[in-house]
Amino acid sequence: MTLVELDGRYVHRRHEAETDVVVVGSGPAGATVARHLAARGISVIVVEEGHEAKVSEVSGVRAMAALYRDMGTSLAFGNVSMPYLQGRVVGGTSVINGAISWRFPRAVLDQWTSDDPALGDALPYDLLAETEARIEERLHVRPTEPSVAGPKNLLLARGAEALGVAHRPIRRNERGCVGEGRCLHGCPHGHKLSMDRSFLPDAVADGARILAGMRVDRVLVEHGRARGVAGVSAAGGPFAIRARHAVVLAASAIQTPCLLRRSGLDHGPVGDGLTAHPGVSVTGRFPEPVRNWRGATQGHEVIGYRDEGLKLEALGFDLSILASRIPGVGRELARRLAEIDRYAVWGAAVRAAGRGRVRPGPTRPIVTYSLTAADVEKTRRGVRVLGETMLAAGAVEVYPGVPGFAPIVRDRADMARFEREGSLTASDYAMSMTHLFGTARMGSERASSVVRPDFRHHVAEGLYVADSSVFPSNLGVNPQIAIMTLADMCASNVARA
Amino acid sequence: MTEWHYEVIEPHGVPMPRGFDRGLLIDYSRGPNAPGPIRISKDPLVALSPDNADQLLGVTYLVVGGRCLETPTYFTLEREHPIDYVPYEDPAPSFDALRLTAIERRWAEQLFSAILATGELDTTAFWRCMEEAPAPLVRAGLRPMVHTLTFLPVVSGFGRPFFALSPEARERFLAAASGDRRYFVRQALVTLKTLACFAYYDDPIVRARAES
Repeated sequence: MTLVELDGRYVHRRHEAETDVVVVGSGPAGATVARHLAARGISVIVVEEGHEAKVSEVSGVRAMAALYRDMGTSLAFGNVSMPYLQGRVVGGTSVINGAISWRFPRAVLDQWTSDDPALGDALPYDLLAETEARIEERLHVRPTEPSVAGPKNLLLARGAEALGVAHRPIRRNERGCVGEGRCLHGCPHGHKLSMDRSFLPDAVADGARILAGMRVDRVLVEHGRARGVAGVSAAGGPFAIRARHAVVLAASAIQTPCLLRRSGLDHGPVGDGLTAHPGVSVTGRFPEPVRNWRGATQGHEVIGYRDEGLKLEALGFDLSILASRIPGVGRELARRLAEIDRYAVWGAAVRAAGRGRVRPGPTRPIVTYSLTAADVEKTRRGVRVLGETMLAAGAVEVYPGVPGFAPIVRDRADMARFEREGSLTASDYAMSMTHLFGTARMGSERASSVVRPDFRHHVAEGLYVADSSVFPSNLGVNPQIAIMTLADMCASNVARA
Repeated sequence: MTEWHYEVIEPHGVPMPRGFDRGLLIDYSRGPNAPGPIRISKDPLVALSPDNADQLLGVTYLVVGGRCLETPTYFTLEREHPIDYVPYEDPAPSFDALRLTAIERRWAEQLFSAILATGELDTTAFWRCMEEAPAPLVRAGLRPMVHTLTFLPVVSGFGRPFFALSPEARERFLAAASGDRRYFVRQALVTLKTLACFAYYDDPIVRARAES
């Protein structure tokens, strides 16, 4: 069954429609808003730039091309250039994430409330927790079963256990996972309850309409009020969707501020204050087969370093990406690839203090972001603890992959030296950036925020922002449940208005 | 319903019926219409009242052999509402301009083969996928990276470009590049290695063998 009412690949002429609420983006935030409003009988149109993916048909480079924005090569420029990964598909980034589901950290909310007490009133913790519980129930969030974890996740548990560091199976939104290790390329069996398998079908069943392959270029603002959105279909046909009641932006912390700025809504720090969780990874070789591409893609995590702003996870990559992380070139690489089943890659997500900026560019958003000196130190510690955990789990070789340090490490004492001797130059680390926040932050002060604590835009009436752009800071944990929770609260406000 | 394509033009140098020497002209001969009378049809338009372009009067005539044949088909056009949206024009240069030339692609494939020590790869399907995918940064960055790794050996002790090196020298050069202190050189190798791995495992036989 298709979810999509209109596919922009076939929209050559002008298309117009009218609805109560138009939602831009079909990822966790947009799908949550659409589901909430449709369930209340409010007419909703969801406009998505990406297409509906047939994920069972693609793998490797084809999956990257079909599901990821710019094939996963969007770059943030700064003291280390990092790719940032976003889905461009019906269901958004939930289609290509590892299904990791964390509750909103209480300490983060307390910090937000301490910085701006109005946020505490708008986001009461009890309501937040109750909303999270409902979302988790619908998405069947549960700890990864050992039977589908696969060796890479069990080895991470073994390493953390040997070091005496807290760890646990990752809680994921899935039903019937068979551990095929394909989360990052879209679950071929539909077992991951990404938005295209959960909230969007719910919304459609309640009357919501989804337009795919339709890129929104601007919000239509008339006499200070958002009246709809306009853009271009994948086939080049212009379109305009009029909204009688509200426009909700849920296009991500990169696209939403660009859309606001392109619409002339550039008041306040729109596009500023980008925060993230940069990630660094380490590859290791084990004496036994790991088959890193099998088992739950991300099924186990080490949480004992969270107070330091680090969280370790096993990373289940496609063969092609795993191969690119194995050291060496030429015959050395060929020898290693002949036993590719022995290699594993684990990653550390860094709760970084760095801040960046997003601006619309001529063809793509221009994203700048730099790590602070403290972030680089934290990254260096992340490499050390990843390597130590691998060695404690039984790895025979670990490859830090940082210039100026031993390319192969075989014992834990050498790995510990990395924290003293490893580079403190950001660009020496191969990093990527996930979990982006803060580019249309919420707050009570109009000068220092873009939306009010109830998600309404400070300037344009009838305009709401529901995605992670509104988060005043990063979370230190995987944010999809937190995004859905706040989006649900945003939808309540839209419905009440 | 019948649909025709047309352009609206100012009627300079076009045969016009007597009395129509101003206004605009709907010219169906300029649209990709199927052969038929519509291909020789034109509709001059005039405003019904001065300074009001919202109500227009038109008439259809045919141009045969350079002569105008008037028809009794008169019509009025009335503006429904002002134009409320002009599509955002993407000023992006065509990504095709960033595509590697045949010789550059050959250099890239030589780098792929040396990185993986696999011999020749059949990369036809891989390149097709790359060319269809909207990844402008990769396309923009790939050319300088291929050039860097192809010609860097000339000035880094090998004395020749990459394609002129022996297999052993190619491997020595790539090993040195992977530890180069210069960020761009390391990134060039990382990028080419990643693409080489994508191309390698794009082959279903290679993938099946590795996964088995």
